[in-house]
Amino acid sequence: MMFIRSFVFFLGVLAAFALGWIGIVGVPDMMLARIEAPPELKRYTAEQLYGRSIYVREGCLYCHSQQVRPEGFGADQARFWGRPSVPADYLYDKPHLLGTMRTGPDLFNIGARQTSEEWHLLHLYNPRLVTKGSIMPPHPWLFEEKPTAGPGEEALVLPDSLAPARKVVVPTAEAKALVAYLLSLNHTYPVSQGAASDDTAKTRR
Amino acid sequence: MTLLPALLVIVIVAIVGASLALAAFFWALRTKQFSVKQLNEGASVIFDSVEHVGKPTDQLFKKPGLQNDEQTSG
Amino acid sequence: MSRPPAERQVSRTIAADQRLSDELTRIGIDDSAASPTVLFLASGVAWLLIGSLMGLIASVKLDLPDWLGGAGPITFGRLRPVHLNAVTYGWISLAGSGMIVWLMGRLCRTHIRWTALLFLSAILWNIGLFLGSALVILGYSGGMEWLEFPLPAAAVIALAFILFALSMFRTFAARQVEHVYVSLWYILASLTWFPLLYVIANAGLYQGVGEAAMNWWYGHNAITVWFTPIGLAGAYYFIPKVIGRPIYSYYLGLLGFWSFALFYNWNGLHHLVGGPLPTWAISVSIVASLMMFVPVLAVAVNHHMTALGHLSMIRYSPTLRFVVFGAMSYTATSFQGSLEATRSVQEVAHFTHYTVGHAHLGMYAFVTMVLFGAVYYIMPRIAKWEWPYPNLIKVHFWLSAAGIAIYFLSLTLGGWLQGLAMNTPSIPFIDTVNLTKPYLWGRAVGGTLMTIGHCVFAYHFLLVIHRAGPKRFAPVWFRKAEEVAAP
Repeated sequence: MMFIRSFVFFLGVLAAFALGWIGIVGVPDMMLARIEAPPELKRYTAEQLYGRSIYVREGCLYCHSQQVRPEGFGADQARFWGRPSVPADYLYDKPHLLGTMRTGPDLFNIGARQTSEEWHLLHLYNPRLVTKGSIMPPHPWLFEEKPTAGPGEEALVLPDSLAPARKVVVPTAEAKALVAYLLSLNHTYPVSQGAASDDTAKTRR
Repeated sequence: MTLLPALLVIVIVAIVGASLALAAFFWALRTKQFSVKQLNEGASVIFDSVEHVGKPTDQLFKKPGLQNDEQTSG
Repeated sequence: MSRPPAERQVSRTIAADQRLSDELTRIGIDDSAASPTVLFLASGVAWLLIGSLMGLIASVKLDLPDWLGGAGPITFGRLRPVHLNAVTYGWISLAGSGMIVWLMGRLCRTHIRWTALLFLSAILWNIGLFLGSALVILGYSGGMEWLEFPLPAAAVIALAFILFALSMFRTFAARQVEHVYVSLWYILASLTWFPLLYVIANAGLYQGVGEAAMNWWYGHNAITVWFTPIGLAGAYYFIPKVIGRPIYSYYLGLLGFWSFALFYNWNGLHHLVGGPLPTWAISVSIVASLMMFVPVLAVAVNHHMTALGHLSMIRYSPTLRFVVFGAMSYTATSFQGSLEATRSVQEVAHFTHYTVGHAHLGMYAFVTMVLFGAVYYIMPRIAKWEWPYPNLIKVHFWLSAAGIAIYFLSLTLGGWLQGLAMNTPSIPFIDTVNLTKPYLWGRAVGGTLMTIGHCVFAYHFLLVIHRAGPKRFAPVWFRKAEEVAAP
């Protein structure tokens, strides 16, 4: 009797777990397995992928989402953050970076919204140079201080209060790769609602 | 995968899951797993003849002078 | 109805023998669990200190973004995941495991088997945590929330958990009681579920949006299959044990457990409401979240009715004080969570600090407070040494309780206002940041109080391990076995 009872218990426990796994991960994943990439969605270049790994390394995802909500659910559309994101937009993403916080704004289309490389570099070096009141961490370790900029390098234009004495600040390859990744975040191409997942478009209250 | 095969998986999983749950439930009823005796015995396995029902444990904040009889009896 | 004197004498002797034998059995079982339990609990306390410090620094960085801003390893984006991993896989998991080892002996009424595996498990677990935290700080994060530890560290932790589970299952198989107590259902289910979940999640099976679904299935299920069962197993044992009354309704316990197992495994996708996933899948998770009212009510009624009329004991029992606080927080956090999963609340609360407040209500006000209570009960019984300074326990309680209250209220209010502002397109985005700033200071204040409380707790814990402090007139129920045997 004790044995049967344990058997039923563990069977029930395993079934409860497996059903949840199949239900909310397995089946959605199966349904999404055959979607095709929109032709305008480009694969990441080597530099963009390197930048993406720095985005992960510095934990950008803890404050920035990469998903746009549909009309009628929040104000993403009214803030012109782009059309609602669809599963096909994420086909080349691993690890996924959908994010759960918007301590900072959504970055799904930051490459379309803020196209200036110089702005991004200054913002990474110290966000408060370009956005007063920002609480984003500065990332000076993505930059080098040296006496003069070398050939092909471009020093940041800093206000006197932040510029190091008799030195210039130039971005490292890491900073440039991260900016290249951010500029690649541009999902403004159209997607047909049918191919995109008609489910997503219907997300309403 | 389109919607239909996914739906099929859901239906199969649901039927298997539901029948397992029903089978387990009827087994529990038949073997009287829900009888008052079973349940009461289960609830009292955390007690023994010293730390018995009706005796609180863990009374650290009670002043030594206020200790009840339980704590000084063997 | 009076029996002859001789017979009464005999029955009294038998009863006395029974009492002595029960006492010796219980003490012997506690002794068999002592070393591994202390190892797990002490590791847990160490990770609590590390995790609190990381969390506090990360929190202050949101107030003073340029403070300690010059170096990558201590940037917000690296300390924040280390905080989460240190307090969940470190403090709660290790202290929870210590509690489970001790409860396993008590509830199976037998000594702990395969303790060598437990020592190995605790050591590996610490190595895995250290390795994982160091790798994240050095920039090798896996990049998914709750799964930041890269594969080598995750593999070590998975192995540690499996060794732990093997020892526990072996002890369970040797149990000397017919009835398996409610706490043990939750523990056995966790021991089965968590290794499966952790291995599947770290196996890298998914990509793109499928991976996001897996990420949040994991993120919520880690709470379902491991952290919540730890808290509930503790509450189900300590409330009736301290009060000295069996649980109000064992039947409700059964109902609560199976509805918990059935519904809670489906909750994960409510973290992606409004995201690019099939709507039906998210809806399923929302429905399952609302169904959580069933197990939560069952547990709430059960604990409340058990304590009803005996709540005055909170004055005398440190354990009850913490555990009842935790049990009440479980009801609160679960109700809040069910409502929070709905679309209308998610539209405002998602992407804001509101969610962070909710997470801390569950992981701190519920699970952590129950674990504090458990440690206060278990340590004197295995160290054979009473807590030397009862007032330190009161200080710890009030620091923790006030800290989490300030933390939760700040982030809940601030987060909600942040969400409302974000959904008003005429408000520039930076103003949604500016309006949260006072609340983020509130969060740092709450975090500071909790961290000070943890230092007090850790100091007191060390005193008991070393059997230090003024010797007090301790209640007698944790005397050494030989003292009991003496006439």
